[in-house]
Amino acid sequence: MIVNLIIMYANLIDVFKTNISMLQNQPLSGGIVAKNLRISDNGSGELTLYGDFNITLKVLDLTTDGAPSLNSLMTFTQQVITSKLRGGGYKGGISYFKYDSSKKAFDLNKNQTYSIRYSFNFSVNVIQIKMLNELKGNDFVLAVVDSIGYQFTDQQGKRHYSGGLTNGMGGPAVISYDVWKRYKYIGVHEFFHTLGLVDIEDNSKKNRLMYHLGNNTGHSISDAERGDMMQFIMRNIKDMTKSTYTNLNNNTVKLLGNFLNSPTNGFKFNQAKFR
Amino acid sequence: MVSNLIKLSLGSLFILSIYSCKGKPKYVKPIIEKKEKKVIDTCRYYAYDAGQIISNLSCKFCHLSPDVAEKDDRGWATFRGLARMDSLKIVDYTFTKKHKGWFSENGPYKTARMDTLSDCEIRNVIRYIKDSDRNIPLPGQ
Repeated sequence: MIVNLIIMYANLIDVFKTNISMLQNQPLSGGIVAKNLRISDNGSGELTLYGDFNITLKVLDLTTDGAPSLNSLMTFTQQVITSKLRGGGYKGGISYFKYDSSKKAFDLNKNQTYSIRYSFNFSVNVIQIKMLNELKGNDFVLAVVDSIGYQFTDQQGKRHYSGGLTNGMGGPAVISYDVWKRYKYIGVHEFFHTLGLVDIEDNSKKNRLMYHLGNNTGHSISDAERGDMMQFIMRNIKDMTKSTYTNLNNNTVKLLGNFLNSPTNGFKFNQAKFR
Repeated sequence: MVSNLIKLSLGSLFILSIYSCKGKPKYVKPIIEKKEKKVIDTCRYYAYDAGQIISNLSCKFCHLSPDVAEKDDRGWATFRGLARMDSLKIVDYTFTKKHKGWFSENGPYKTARMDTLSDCEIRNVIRYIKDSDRNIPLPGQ
């Protein structure tokens, strides 16, 4: 209860900060920053959402002996995230409230079923941070550690080691540096967990990026997954009626600290770097 | 001729009397082994499939996710709010009352799949919702 209250207060403070930033015309910060938001209604049940989005993923090196390949891995991850998000997304059969184009608002008294076309421009930045104080409440983070002890059981009852772990939707992600060197896509895989996607275990879907039992034959993202990520990115469609937008304060620093120190996850890393 | 007829009649009578004297076969009550009825639960949870149902029903357009609070500024349950509800309450709230009738046969969202979900799908959707508040790590390979 107390923790919830603290999180609620932190969230409120974040909202105030965002509002003050907007009033002072200061640049907004966070994992998702969007500008030039607008909705176009074709009058036949399709809304097209437009906006310019900056997605920032901060990488924190917590390895004991350093990570010499980190820059090239980050560049690769940035390129893949950019290419996967390019082209926006689509979701059909959305039961929502009727959009009033003249008022540029949703009418909460009228229902409407829509198809939603996301026509977002994305600029993705995967950047390294050296200090923990460079991390803020609504940032996305990928911490790089020496190893991960956590094992999971697949649907067939087989146990697997994890090369990466993400703390739920919107949460921080942690990956093993050694695994990242061997499987370059794991940084994107974990970040897409942060953006709301779940793992795939069907043998027939080994060509998908979210297949997580090894020996992938490809790294594709389905249209449905892309639509789900867009929905996560613009989580409250009502916010499209504002001109700017940042993602919710998820208290990233606290979540990362709890996640790293949870004994069940079995992370090995340089504790001195996480201060 | 007459004696032959008499002989045949007596022979038939004799054979009939033998058959009629034979005891009725005893009815043997079949032994029914009392075995405990085993109910095999074939409902299998797979987060990906449950997530697809949530996605197709567009739940998160109204029940915002992620969110730290249990209700949004409109007073509606966030996805976290749903997760913190009792499972029976979720069933009642979501699948029985069907959102004030919006998803019923004559409601504005009658085309949504909610009415056609099987019991297994409903159970899996509820587990997916509950798991979203359990901080279960999502593992990569």
